Amino acid sequence: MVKSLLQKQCLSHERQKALESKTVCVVGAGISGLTVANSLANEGIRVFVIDKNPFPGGRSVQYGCKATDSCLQCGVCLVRDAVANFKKSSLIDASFSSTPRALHRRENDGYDIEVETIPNPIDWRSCTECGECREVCPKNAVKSIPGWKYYISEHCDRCGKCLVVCPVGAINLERKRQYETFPALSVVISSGFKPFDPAVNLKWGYGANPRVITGSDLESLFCREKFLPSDPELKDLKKIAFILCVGSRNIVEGERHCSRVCCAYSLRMANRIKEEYPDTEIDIYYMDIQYFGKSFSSFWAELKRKINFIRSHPISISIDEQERPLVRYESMSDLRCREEAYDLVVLANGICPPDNGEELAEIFGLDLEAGGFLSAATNAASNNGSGRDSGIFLTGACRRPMGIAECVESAYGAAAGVLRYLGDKV
Amino acid sequence: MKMGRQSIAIAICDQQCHSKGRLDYRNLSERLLKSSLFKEVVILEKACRDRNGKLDGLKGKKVLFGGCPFLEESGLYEKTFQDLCLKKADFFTVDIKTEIFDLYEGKENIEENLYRKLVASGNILARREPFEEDIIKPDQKALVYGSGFSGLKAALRLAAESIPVDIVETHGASLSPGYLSMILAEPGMITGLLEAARKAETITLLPQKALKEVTPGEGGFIFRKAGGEKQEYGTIIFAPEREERPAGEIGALNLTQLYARIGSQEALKTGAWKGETVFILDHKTETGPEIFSDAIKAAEYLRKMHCAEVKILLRNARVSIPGLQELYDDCRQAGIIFIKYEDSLYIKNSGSGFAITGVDLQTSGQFIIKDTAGLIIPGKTILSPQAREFARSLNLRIYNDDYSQSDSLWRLPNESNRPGIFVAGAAKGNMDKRAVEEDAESLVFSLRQRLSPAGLRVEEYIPQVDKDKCALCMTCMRVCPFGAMVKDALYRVAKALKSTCRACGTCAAECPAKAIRIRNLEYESLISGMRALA
Repeated sequence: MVKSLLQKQCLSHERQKALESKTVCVVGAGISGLTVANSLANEGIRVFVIDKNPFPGGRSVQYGCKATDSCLQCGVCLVRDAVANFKKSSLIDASFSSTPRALHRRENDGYDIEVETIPNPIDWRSCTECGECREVCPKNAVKSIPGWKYYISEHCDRCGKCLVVCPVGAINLERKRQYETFPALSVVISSGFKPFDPAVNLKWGYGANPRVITGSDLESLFCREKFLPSDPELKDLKKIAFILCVGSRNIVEGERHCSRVCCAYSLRMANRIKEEYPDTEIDIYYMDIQYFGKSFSSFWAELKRKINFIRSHPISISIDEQERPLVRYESMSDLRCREEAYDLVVLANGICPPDNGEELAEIFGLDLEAGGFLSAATNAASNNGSGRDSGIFLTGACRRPMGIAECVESAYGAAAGVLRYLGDKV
Repeated sequence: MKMGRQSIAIAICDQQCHSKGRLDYRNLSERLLKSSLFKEVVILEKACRDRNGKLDGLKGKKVLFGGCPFLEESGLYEKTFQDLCLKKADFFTVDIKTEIFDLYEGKENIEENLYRKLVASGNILARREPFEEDIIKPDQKALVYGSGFSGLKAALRLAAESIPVDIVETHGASLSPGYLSMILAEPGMITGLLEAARKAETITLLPQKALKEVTPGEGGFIFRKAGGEKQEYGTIIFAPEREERPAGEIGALNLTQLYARIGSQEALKTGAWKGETVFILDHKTETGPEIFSDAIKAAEYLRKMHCAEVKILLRNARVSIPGLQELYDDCRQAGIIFIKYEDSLYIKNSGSGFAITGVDLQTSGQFIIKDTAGLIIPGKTILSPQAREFARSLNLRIYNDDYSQSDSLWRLPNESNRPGIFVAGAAKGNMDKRAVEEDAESLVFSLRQRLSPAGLRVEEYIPQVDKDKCALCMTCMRVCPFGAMVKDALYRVAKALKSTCRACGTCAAECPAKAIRIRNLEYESLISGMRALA
């Protein structure tokens, strides 16, 4: 037995060589996709990443740290780290602003992936992050995310001023649709989720009232290290309400499942706002708190002292005379309807399955679960397991609602699966 | 060791963009060449921009790069390393800027220190053998503590990676409700796993009695059997089962006891189980969704198989694991009644049964349940005393709620506070079946990352605290992901525990007084550290 193991070890250097010539394609460069890509690259495997955004990091890179004087384990720094590692690694190549269109099985081993790309005007490979384009842009269309290069958003009107100033000639305003085909031995799908859009239901008044925002909106403010909206019209935000379970645990309006993350992020953000502006008054409307982390009990007890928790799911949000949102809810203590006016209402919107789930399922031979999330068709024993064809792995929030830390764990699992799969092939 | 077997070339950047004076590199390179360790010295002009093709002559040799950290950030080292077709073992970088110039700025002995640093690093490089690609050396086994679902899954998964595994059987010592509910749902599954473990060539099952003592040894752990035999292990995987606390009320059952009754069908039939069954979930303690799911499965079983009248009293409905919502629905359809109550309940045991009074949250009215024969209150899960003893003997830290991992994100998914020891399964936190399966996968990856030679840490690189600067503000103790910082015996200064520190540098980065320095550049400690690496 030992002898056979030793032989295996002698072979392993050659095995490593063989592994290096393999390519793994990762669809989606969110936290799960980046973790898979980075960990495979650490093992010496070439990785090709496809993402529909013009930048890596997906949704979670647009979130902000919620630590007060102590870390609250929100995990946003993990995403920043993953983006930094991704930037450094020489074994990872990427195609941004692209979507997979078809998958062909090759005769011997592996797949060919057809990818449609509408390239961003700024070529990320040559951008040096000098920021000249950002300064001249009259439309403020040049955007960036933490730790990554610049990209041009859809506000661009093609005035061409940036073309002139760019010192490396990285800008090309002609956006030609391209079709390319990439070979890959194995494919990892980490296409992520879609945040619930409360605008579909008029009762929340989201979109109509600037004082009603979603958790995702607040996260993007946190990302820029602002903790409350800074519009001049919205002065003196003294009374804030968080409404949990918007779009989750409700079949009529949204999704049936519990999104798992909204309790956690709302409590952390409320805590951060309270820390930053101690004289704000914060109410949280909740059904049941589902956040149940390891240090939950102490955090929860501390938070109960600072923040008012109301056990009710509000019926609707209207507007009072001063155009402040008026939350109408049923009080549990006397079963009466009450109304309470706030300066700002944050709707903790949940996680919905991705829009293109069906398309992805068809392309990659996956199944859709009842809730709309992707699931591995065969091989039910392994959750990170392959789809109908072998060598296709699923990870991250496209499988079910997950927080950042869970996504990382799941991604390590998928990376282990890919390694095992490739190891068998060598 | 086979010193100088291969020629070592050294490439250093001569720019010193930061320091005030310039070093005489010609003198230095002559000294280095005299040391008979280096065969070639290449001095780069502006290494961070242009290589001028000077490095092309270094192909196929061992190369030591010295330069500033900017080079590492720019990825130049890695590019060079690929251009020169170097193997990982033939390549070493020295961060000259922070380790030499910043530390010794303004001092006379910069050149001397640089020389020593380069020679020391060259020594490492010369001694370094090609990396072994397998995770663990074949003669070093893994020891899995715990033969529950997570322990068996982890062991089988490791065996699939061709790592020999010994399992310490903990059956009978503790049975977790999750484990029991799995037996109920899929009777053959766990026995099937055990069977597979027994059959597998590389897995050995050891009875718990055989375990006498485990001590950390050189490059692994030494395990003493009761008879005095020794066995060496490269790594330990801590995957014990969790057992349930007793129900808080006298006469009430917890889930484990209920499952035991269900297991011995007789007890249910012979009259001991008449009348209503009431489950109280989340009573006094916050119990997680996994325990909810186990309790509801038991309730469903009672309802369907024994046609019992079942009521479930809930304080919080936990729905955050997949499939739990559907389970609630199934139960409602089967005729189980759910009542959500407000914070407190009044429970009285009147000999013939329990009387429970509380306030219904939905209607705000009082409800009274009389004469229930069975009252089931699931408790929190804890580690068994044996598992705690085992953890204590290894200095493995147990955190809040008996979890063996801190909630810090700065670790790999299965790392514990001790190097070489990994945590799998429910010891990390309550888990359902699906989570345990995923966990076994990520365990393999954590092992790969941490036990590869690059992941080995250097003992002497643990933080050094400056006594004069330390204000005992305890920032380091708070931020340390591994709980390695403590106050010293006299409470005068913070210090790092050698056994738990990973030299991650978090404390040094966070220290407001800048009293902590990680990389101590004293020559002696550097050399002994390198011996550990080489």
